[in-house]
Amino acid sequence: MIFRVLASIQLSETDRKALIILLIVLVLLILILGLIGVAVRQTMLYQAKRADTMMHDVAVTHVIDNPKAFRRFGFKKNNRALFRDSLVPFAIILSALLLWVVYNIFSHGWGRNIWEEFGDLFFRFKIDNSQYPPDDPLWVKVFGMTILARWPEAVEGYPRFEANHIVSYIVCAATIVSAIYYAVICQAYISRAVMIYVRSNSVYEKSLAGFKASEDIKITPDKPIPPAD
Amino acid sequence: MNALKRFGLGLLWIFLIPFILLGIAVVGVFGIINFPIQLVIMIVNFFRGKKVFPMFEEDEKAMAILQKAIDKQNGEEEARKEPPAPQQVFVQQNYYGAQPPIPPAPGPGIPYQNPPYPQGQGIPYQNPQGIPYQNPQGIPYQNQPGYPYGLPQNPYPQPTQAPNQNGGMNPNPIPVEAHEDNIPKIELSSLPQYDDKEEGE
Repeated sequence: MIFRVLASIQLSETDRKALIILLIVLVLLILILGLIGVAVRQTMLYQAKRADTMMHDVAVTHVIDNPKAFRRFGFKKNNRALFRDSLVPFAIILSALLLWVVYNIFSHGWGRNIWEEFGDLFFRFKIDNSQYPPDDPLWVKVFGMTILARWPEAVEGYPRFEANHIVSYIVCAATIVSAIYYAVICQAYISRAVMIYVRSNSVYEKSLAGFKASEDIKITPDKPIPPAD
Repeated sequence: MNALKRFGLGLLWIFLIPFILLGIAVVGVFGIINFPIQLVIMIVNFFRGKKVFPMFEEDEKAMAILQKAIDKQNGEEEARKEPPAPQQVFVQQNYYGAQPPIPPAPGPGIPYQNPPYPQGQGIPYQNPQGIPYQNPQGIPYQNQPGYPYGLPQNPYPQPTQAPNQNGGMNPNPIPVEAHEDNIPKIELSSLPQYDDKEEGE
């Protein structure tokens, strides 16, 4: 029955192309996200070791001997580590901002859209359906979803370099780089915080697994241990 | 297989990414607030002449404890490396007018042990190997004629030997180097036991 229903569905050439593109995009997206996930996991492992290094001495010397103090001290150290790590991205973004302010003071171009000028460096595509003929639209509806039918063929603009937009290029590139850098640092902070919390419990926990009071000969009690009820 | 694994992880990350991004956004805002606070503390420390990022009190305590442990360990290691110098006692044995007992001539294979002392010469006891005087048997001082300073003691205590072991040969011979100068060596208080038959053979 199901196979008959599926066989009865007839897709046009455009729909078929759209589905194939959708599948490829979906697979690529999942693979890319998987790689990002691997990178996130590696960062977490590295930062977990860094958290151990931060807290090792105070734990082994018993300067801190309870979980609450461990977490409090870990929070202080983690904040300082966050500050030290974020010096670089903050320096980049502050330098870019300073450059933009100084340039606008001298060029009187405060109203300019620096992101549109930054788009000079990339391809521009026609993404509006009205720019395409009705029998060959760019966007189609498949199973209720509006998806791309094909790769946008018409290119509105090719990458070009304009000298009077150079400050926009620098400021936008610096902003993107510092944003990504800062996001990684924040993720590192979260990793360290998680590790500190886990260690605050595991370092000070005590286990009675394997201990037998009747067999313990290190401590000699005054009287024999009574039998269990 | 790895690609499939990554595909599966990717699916998981699709669900987790919104929460991760939310967490990163919260920490980002916290970091933006934390940055100027730490910057002010850093600048104040700089102008006070302290380190820009001074150690925390807890870290200082931990360092002090670790340093104490290292110093203690170094002290113990030095004591182990330099043991107390052994006290050497030189016993002077002078045979004035009396000859020390001359051991019989050694048999074949038995190393020459004690050259005779020249008569009349009080050659003092010499300890070329730096071996301290030992009295393992606790033999007290004995004032014998010819031995004004007591019987010579054997600083090389020999284990009791069963007779006729190894064909009468001494299994634990005392190694003595022959010197032309005839520097007198350590006198044996107990002489090795030899069979009369084997002497000179």
